[in-house]
Amino acid sequence: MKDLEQLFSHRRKHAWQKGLRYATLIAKTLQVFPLFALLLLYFGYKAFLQWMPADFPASLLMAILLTGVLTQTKHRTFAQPADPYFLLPAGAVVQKYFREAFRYNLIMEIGKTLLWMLFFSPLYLVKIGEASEFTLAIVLILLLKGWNLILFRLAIISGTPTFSGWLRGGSNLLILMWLFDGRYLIVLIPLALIWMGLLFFHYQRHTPPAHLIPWEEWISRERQTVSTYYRFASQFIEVPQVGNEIRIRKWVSFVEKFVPKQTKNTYLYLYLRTFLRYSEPFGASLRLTLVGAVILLVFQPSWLPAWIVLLVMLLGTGIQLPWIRHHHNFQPWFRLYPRPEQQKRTDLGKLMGTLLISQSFLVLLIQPQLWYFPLTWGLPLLLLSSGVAWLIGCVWLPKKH
Amino acid sequence: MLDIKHVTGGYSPQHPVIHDISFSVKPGEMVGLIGLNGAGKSTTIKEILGFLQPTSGTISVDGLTLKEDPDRFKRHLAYIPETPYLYPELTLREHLELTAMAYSLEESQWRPRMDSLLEEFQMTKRLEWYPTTFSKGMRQKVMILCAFLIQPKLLIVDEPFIGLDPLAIHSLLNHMITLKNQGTGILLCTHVLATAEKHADRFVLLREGQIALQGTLSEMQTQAGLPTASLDDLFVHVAKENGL
Repeated sequence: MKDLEQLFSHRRKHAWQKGLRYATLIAKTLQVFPLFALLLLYFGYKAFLQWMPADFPASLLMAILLTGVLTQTKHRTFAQPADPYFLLPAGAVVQKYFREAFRYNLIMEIGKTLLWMLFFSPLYLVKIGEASEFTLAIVLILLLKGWNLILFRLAIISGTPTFSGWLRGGSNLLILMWLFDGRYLIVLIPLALIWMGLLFFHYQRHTPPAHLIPWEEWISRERQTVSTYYRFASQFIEVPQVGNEIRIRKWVSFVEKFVPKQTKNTYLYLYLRTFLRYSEPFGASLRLTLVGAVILLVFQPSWLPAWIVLLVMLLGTGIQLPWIRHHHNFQPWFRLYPRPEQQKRTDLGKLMGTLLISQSFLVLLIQPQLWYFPLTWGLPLLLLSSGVAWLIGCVWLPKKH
Repeated sequence: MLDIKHVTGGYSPQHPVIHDISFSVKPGEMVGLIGLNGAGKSTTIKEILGFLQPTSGTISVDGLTLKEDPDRFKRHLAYIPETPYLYPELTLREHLELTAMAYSLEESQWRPRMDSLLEEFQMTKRLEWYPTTFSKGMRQKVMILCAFLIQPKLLIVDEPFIGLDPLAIHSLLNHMITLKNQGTGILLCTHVLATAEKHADRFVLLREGQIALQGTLSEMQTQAGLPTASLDDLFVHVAKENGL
């Protein structure tokens, strides 16, 4: 029974260890990319604050964004499919388990909200109010977050999470708009507390007794949460729990004809089909190409920002491509083909280089800027991005994989 | 053809699974590798294929070790694993094409061979199908087709009969016998002792990672002191000696 009493902390620890292992693997894959993204975010945010006109509705923007943060609430229980059967006789322990789960989620949600507030602090201090008002706002927002979590949990137990989501969302938006407006706060606070209390008592009255646990709902939510994490991780590394489905894309099969069926192309023949016919990394490459093209098309940045966008796109695509080879590592035939071991790497390099160069061409050739300013914008970018695509695809990545 | 001399190995040098194993497969010979679950059959096969590194001893195919010339070593052998591992992204036709490309087969050579194999294993209509639509037996047939397309000097077959329909088993055995008659050495790992006894020329009976009995059926009968024993009796005898 002692073990059962520690079940929640045991599962929480296990989940964190697993999460950290995946985070380490992802960090190894991404290398300097997160630092690069952080720098981009920092400079982008700074530029946004400088650009913001005096009449910019910063209060409204912040209220809307924070409404999302507060309404989007997670309540992890680490519940397992076998729990309803094995934990059935342990009623008191199960109650303790769920109390611990609630405490854990409260800490996590408060932590997440504080991080968001930290992120929004420059916007608030530049456009909305002073530090003392911001501190009061944080207190009220954390209180709101706790209330959201309690209501979310009660709504799951009583089986009405969707309606509760809308109700909470509306309440959050109204309270936040009033809060950031800054007027009549003396009225807002008691009114908000009364409204929050009323909703809490309403939900509590309609909640079934504590011993009736909605196991299926908790298990299903836990499965969805874990799947979301796995899907996210699978964008960077191979996650066995996430099935990478086969998707036959007839519209692109003409590309296969460019690789002659010769011994020297053995692995290239296989890699090309692996790339074209699995849902990923083809899907991710396509998405990155589209996003890169749209950013350049809409913002029409000057040479340097355009080059940064291209580099991020090429790196983001490139780091996903070595999966094409690793994916086959345990296929017995792949290990038995009487071909030089080196060919596995060179063929991968050929494919990655061609894909990345084609990507930079695709993105740049549709830019009107390339045709208007071919010598100052288009050609230098085309040459530089092709060169870097070749370096990433044919030199750097094959060396590492 | 295949020479295994004093091979010890497994998944870690501290805990070897097979100990000091020596046997050979000559050209035109079928050798049955048999033993209880966990006796070391699959480990022996993995050591031969180079998936595991032996801690001591040598494995050579046609006088060549994997280290000396990996490409030529691999060129000589084909493997049909117990579990059919296919490329989900390739059609049956592409599996065969890829095999032909990897083994540098001339189209004039492999194309007629492919057509006849497809017909024999009743897979002609499924040439453009992807493995996700195949039953386990069909998947096994794809492995068999690719192995026979190569016409190797050494064929290693691990439990090939599971999941196959009787007609496919018949075709598989016929092809194995044809290959054997053409000079291919075959190492057949199976629990279907009656088939092994009928078709294999010699046997290697493993017990706890060591060779318990080895040779023709009559040689093993003499070694065990059971002159009239069938392969099945010898297997049970060795297993019981093991205290099971």
